[in-house]
Amino acid sequence: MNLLENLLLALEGLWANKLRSMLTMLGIIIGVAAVIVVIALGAGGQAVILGELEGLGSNLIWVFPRQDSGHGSWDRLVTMDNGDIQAIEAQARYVKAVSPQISMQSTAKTVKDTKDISATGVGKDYREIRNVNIESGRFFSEYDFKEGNRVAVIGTDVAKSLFDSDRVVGEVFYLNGQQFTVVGVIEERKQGMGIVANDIGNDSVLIPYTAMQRMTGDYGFYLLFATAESSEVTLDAAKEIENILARRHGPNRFEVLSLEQTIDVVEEITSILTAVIAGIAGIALLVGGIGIMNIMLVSVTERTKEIGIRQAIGAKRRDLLYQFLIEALVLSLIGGLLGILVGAGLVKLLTILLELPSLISVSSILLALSFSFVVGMIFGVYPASKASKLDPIEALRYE
Amino acid sequence: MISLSGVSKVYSTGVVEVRALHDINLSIAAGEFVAVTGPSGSGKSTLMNIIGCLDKPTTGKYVLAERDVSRMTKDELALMRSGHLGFVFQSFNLLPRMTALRNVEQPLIYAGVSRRERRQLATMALDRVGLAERLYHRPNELSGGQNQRVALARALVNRPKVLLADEPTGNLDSKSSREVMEIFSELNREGVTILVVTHEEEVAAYAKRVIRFMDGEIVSDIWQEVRTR
Repeated sequence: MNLLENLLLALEGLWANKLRSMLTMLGIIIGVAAVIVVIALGAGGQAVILGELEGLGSNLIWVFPRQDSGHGSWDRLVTMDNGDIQAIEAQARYVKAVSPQISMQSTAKTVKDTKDISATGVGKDYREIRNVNIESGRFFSEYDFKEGNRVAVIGTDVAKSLFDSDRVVGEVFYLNGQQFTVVGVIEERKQGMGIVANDIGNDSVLIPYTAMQRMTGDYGFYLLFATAESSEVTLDAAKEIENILARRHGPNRFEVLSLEQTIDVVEEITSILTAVIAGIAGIALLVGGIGIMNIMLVSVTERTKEIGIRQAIGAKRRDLLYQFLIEALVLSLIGGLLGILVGAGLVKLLTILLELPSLISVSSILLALSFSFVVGMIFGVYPASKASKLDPIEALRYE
Repeated sequence: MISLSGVSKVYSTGVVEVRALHDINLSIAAGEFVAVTGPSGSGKSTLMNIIGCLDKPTTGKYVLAERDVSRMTKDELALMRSGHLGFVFQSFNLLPRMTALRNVEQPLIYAGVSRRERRQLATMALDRVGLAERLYHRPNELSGGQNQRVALARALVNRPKVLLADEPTGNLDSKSSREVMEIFSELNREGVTILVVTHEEEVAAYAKRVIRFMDGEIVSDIWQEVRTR
């Protein structure tokens, strides 16, 4: 039977009942749009989180006290100390580099400005572990750590707000009243969304951890970063650190996490979330399909006379089956296409509002289209087969 | 062309059995112009449905164009309708959303005629019934007589051997009726077998043979002088 003729018939039929067709398609439109939006946002969110995680440094391991090690009180949490760093450096075979990270709320002051910042005390391997690129000047030397020199490596935003000059290396500022000399500037970074904590950014102020310990008099720390020799031994390195800390502080006092594990977990969580929400959106598609079936059944009844006429002028059962099936398919596919447009528009809007990367995948569009095709097929078959089985005499007599 | 032997049709509605046709033996040769008359409920419509391959006899044998129709499947019947028969109804039964041209094209779609040829044949058929100027009018833009002529064009576009008309002038004024009946006469002169169900004497007068039905049986079968213009 003539496909083109059937398409034309279907379009004419739908156009003749514009409002009804539109309302019928609404279910499919909403379902498809929801699927597109959910999948795109899921992928976008995942990309953002993973991007930030990977920006932390490759083969990264981080260690922090377990919440329950201090029996619920932050003050009594078990902390790590310089001895742990030395032990890990000396004993762990798979650990390439290790560094503490200590944070301190402080005030940075120059002639130009006074600024509340979070200063970060770091170890000598920190640059390597966290991929800190120095734009100008230098990173800290062995000597700086040994002496606890009051020197700082600062981000570009901090440099801009504290100093007028572009050449800030050698300039001094006051951190909680103590004079520090800028020895380096961190290369400008594209800022993430700050989903991942402890990120290095353009507003960072790094100082040797020994200098910070001297300032605060607190020699313990809550966070330790390390890098494994290679990605294959990340888990081994994490195990080594865990064992060393267990020997020194007792078992299960610290949480040792690797980036790989975290990425796996994040991927798993976002995939499950996306699948669950997409499943709910799929129910909207199902409801849309039922709407199509409903309207097609009405249409078959309304057009009983037409069916009788067509039978009289030579239509076979298959001809009528195709005519009504194609009409249902046209309905669901147009709905699907409109749904893709609506969904893409919503995604565009949301990515602008939420500053997410736009991630409408071809596969989600194909998924949505094939889903609406299948829906049209499944819910179109019954009405179409009903049309094809009408008795010509009764159909002709129908008014 | 048409041969019915011992054809009966029984409708059973629950407990009651209605005998619409009783043991009909009827033979119509190619090129005949037959009027079927009788009161309503006499079985003439049932006869037309069976001859038109829309319905099957309960018992008996019906042969159309040398083929036994009585045991055919639905799709085979559809093929017979498509290949040999044309229908004209009292209420025109045009598809309201379509232009005259597309209405007339419809039977050709089911006969598997190509798009270009369809257009050509449909235009010719409409020209044949004097509607060459009305190709792109929809049924609601045409008069009753014009609509019935579109329906006629649709019935003859497949070049059927038999044309079946059920009260074709029932909804028309006398002038339109004459126009439509004249076209039937012309087609008959060209060799098309024509069966008209009617209760109007005027219409029956165009036929060479008048068959009268009563209670599901043929009560008279008369050859008559054809009225000439």
